Amino acid sequence: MFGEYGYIEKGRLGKPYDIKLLKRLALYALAYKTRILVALVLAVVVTLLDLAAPYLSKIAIDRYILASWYRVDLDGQGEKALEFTRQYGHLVEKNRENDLAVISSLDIKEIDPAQLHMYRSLGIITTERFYRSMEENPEVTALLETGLPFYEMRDRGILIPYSAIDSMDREDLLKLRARDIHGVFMIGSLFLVLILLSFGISYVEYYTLEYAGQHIMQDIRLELFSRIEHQAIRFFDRHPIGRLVTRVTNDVENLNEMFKSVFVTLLKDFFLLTGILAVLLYLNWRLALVSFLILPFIFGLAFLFSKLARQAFRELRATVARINAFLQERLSGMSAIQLFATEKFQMDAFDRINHKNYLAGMKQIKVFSLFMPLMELLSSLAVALLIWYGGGRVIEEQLSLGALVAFISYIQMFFKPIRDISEKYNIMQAAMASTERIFEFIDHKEIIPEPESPKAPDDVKGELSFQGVSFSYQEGVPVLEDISFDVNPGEMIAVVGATGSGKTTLVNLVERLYDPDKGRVLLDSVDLRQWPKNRLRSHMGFCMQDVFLFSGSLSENITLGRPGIGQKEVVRAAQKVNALSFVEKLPEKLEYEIGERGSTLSGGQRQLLSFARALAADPKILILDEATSSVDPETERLIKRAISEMTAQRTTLVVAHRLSTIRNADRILVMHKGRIVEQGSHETLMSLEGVYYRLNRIREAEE
Amino acid sequence: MEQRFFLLENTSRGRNASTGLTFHNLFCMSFSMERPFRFLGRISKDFHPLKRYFIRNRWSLALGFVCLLLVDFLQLLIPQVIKRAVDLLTVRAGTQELLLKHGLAILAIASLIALFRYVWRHLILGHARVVEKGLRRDLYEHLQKLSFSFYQRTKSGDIMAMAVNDLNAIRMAAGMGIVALTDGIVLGTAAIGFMMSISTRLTLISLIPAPVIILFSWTLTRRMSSGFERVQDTFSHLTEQVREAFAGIRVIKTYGREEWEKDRVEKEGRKYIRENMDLARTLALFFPMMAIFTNLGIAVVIWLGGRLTILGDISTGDFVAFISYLNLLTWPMMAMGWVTNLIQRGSASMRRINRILDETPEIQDPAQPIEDGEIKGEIRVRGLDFTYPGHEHNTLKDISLRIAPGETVALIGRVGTGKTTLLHLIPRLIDPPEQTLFVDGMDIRRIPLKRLRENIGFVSQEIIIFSDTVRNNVLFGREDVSDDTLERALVTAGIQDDIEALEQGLDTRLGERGVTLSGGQRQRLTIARALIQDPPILILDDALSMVDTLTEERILNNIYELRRNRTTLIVSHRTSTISMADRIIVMDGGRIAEQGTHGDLIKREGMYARIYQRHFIERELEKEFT
Repeated sequence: MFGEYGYIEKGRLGKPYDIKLLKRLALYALAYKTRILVALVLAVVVTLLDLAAPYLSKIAIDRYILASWYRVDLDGQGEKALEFTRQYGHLVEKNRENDLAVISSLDIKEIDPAQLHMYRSLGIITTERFYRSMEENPEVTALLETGLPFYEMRDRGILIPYSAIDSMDREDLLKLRARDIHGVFMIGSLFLVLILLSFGISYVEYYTLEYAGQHIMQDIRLELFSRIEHQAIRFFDRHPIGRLVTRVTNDVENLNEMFKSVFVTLLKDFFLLTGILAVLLYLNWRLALVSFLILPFIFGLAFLFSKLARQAFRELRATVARINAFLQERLSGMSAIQLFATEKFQMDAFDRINHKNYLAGMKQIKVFSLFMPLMELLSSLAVALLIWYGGGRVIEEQLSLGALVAFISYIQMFFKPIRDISEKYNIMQAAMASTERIFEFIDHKEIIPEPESPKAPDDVKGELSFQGVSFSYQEGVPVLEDISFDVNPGEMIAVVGATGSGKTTLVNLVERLYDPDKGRVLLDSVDLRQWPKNRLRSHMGFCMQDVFLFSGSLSENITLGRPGIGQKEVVRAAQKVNALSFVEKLPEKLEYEIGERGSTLSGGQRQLLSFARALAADPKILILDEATSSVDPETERLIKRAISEMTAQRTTLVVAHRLSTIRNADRILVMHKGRIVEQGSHETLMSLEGVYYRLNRIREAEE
Repeated sequence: MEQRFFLLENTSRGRNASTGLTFHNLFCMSFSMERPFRFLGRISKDFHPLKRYFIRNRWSLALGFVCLLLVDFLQLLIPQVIKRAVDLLTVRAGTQELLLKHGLAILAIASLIALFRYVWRHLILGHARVVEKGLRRDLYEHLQKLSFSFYQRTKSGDIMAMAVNDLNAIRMAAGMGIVALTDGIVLGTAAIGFMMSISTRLTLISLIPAPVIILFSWTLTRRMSSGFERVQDTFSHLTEQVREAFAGIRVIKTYGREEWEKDRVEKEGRKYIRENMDLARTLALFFPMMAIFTNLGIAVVIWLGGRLTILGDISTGDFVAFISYLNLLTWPMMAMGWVTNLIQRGSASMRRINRILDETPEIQDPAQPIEDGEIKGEIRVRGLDFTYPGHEHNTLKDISLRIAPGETVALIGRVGTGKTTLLHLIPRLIDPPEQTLFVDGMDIRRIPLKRLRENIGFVSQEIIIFSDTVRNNVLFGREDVSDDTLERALVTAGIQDDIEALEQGLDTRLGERGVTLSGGQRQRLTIARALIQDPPILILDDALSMVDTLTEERILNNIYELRRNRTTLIVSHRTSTISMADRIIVMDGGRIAEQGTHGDLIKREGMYARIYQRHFIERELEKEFT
């Protein structure tokens, strides 16, 4: 979804949940527990509000629109009438004259269906319907005086036969049924209030959860980033940057998706499903159970769909990744395609993968084309079932019409969460895979350890020594073998050797980017492994061949946010290495913002900047990897001067490429295949008449 | 139900799409009287490249639409059946048998709906896939024709985004966009019609929220997509910050600045959160919004419809059916808002793609080509000045040069002095001015491109290897290459042994999900590729930089041997390998600074001599120890 950082994650998707991983994730959520709790409570409230809608329409229909009373005829029915009175007498109301008994249509479902059938056929409960008006209403009283047939009840209520009502004119009807009209108005208003409440609460709930989710992600992201950052360089040798970046950005983003869909949608859906089931059982448990017959089909279909959709989705994603990979290669290699006139060949290859993508897309369409209509069909099946079976219960007075209508609404509501759940499965799966990868990195500890009992002299002189150091990046492929040498405080040592002779590794060990396999590297007679890492690094300055610049201002690139390096130090350092001369020409001087990847600065300027960076903390030891690339003569001169300025009175280890630099060194190490083959001052080496001697002789001859 | 899913599907895709139109723009666009037409006109222009796919699929599309309309119509019948059943029950005229009939009627209608829905989804959405596939093909085909300079000013990431994200947006517009538009109009109108037949007044009142909803859904989807864009933006800043941290990990570690970098990442993370929360404000409105329209309508129906039912103006069944219709209307309402965005987004994507499709290749075949004769490999440059378009300074200044057939010439000089530019001009990767560059006396701009390039073997600085087998990478689509020729090229390039060491030899897959070769091996592979056709002119642009000096010398010796009488041009930074050339040309600031043999130039003590000295130590040490 988000642009992957030039890196496409391989490997298969795993299971959709893993309790151990979820538990660990929950720990991060704990920091925001109040918000999450609030959001969940709000989610429950919203669910309840959502559930209220069909129920309100049920009330409107049953209580106000279709409210009716049936006459009960107990005269001359003998034993059955007595039985009825005994069992259901409390439901029956009588009029003042005691010649009319009625029962409310809402109460009738209390009667056992078999008995009801019998009472109906015996004529104990008749089909004659009455409307019941408000107890005291002057308008109704006025109506009654016009000669409408009515019965006055004991509680002063008025019963009017429906047969009379149906022939009433509109004006009168309005007066008579004012109570019901008011009732539906109140229900409508209540409904409106509920909608607005639900709207507001949903808003707050969503926002709260998003807030919690975003902050949890930020916490995880920072922890992960920090863990990775503290891994040893070896770790970075093994992992391509793209993968690390994907971990910190996209994988964490996947977690966010999961947080939203699991904790939010799934929980809400779960509430809703339970809520619907509960309401249905409450409305009429028999009908509820009948309609549950359809559940296994719904779940079965949803499960099957999620499986098929997952496959289709995976296939589609794989083909998109292939198109991406293909294009990335061909677009950057277009010149070769055109030079070798291989356009047709490439076009055919593209057609093939493009067609595969099309087929995968069609497969997905097929899956969805089947599932979506089938799901709708099931939903309609449920409605049909309700009309048939539920309608039957309405005829039997077991169910009110309003309840049937509500039932239909609830059943239709039921389908959404189920499909949601099957859709979320994919996200869950991807997120679990991401979680696993994230924790794998968080748990990975490949750090250059801090000393247990740190030792560091208060006053650093800058004496560096290697004692019998051996090192290899890969087992069995030694890069340094038994290296021993000393650099006295303030001395400058030049390391000379062909590519692959181990010069850079030597520097890496001084920086303690790696620890030696054998032997020791010492600064002021203390093993580097015993120095607190930060103290050690504050005494060293480094200038590497390819200068790495960070986005930000020049001065930020010099300070790197180090405490104790202020504007004054920056200016001093920049001046010392002759960087000020070009900095002054820039519009914002030291506050000049470096463009993307430092592209606006020339190679020489970048060199000078890295010198300033190294010098800003006034280090005791300087490590210098002399650049081989050519710069213009002017900058070349500046760099040369800067180097001699920097190296004065500092212990300096320089990987040298120029004879002039080498001649300035106090001592020279000639390396070959991880060993020191010659070492000593220029004069010593010359008198040795070895490699170094021959180098100089050839050079002289050429001059 | 189904509908909501599409909205979600779209919003999640929306993250990638961008429209470049402001809300204000759109507001004006649809609300003034004449502009809608202009707007439609522009859209039909944008989508013009799709026309032929629509025409090709016209029959299946027509059938799809018939099915879509049938579904719309049938959907509206179900509430009618429910209404009848409810009315029967209200007046107590229902029997179990009658109810069964109604149930079966619903089932029958629903089955037809399912069937027709399956068909239209298949046909219309399938058509959208065809459009996507076809347009992607057109795009790539055109890309293959575009010149070197296009690729220099266009980021490949942008093109890739087009081939995937923009095509997604177009597919959505061509598929779901059309469906949503049809549904919105047909289902909407028909549902309103049915409602009207029940009660005009009730319909009108319950539809009061409708325009507001359409406007809202439309505004919100707009705000959502611009919000997604900003989120995406901050996300890429965050990504860049993290990338930078890992790329500069060495500096960070050597200065112990881990916490500083973490703060920087945290800062970008906070910006990302801010944008997300901003977006959340819209999203939090959007989802409840989808429900509120129906619900407001239902409130009205309970209010007023309840009253009408009580007064006997409408039946209870009508009351129930009315609520069903309102539910059915939710989708068309949302669709109207959604579809405009969908089409606008698709239209913006189309414009981006059209910009590429409308791009004419700068390097064209000559109008009056010179066809005759075998190319021997003489290269002549006459008073050549070259400036890249948009650049102020000449990259090449007044270059005149003659390279005899069979001569081996080496170029040397600092980075950025025009060596590569000069080499790129020869196979016309970039075009030289007319009458400045000649091969065998013919202006290269008059030699047919294919012929010119077939006669030049070019190995560039960048190593171009595709994720394919070794064999395909060397043959590169050329057929009829004998095994002997292939082997000879591999041996000359010094890569034969490396390939034999691979488990599947020439059939080993390289690159992603395959074997990774070292930089030097990859370079040698690309050299073998150029050697296959044994071209009259071979150009190696710093093509052995990742190979150690000795191997380079060995390979170059092989090449010199093989190409004794054929023209070869070499750029290298290693003086040791250059010194063997017949002639060395030193370039500086776009001009030829010096030229001559190694001996001449050393004697001159000029630029070449200085460069030679700088590489002296490494070179001698390498020699010393071998």
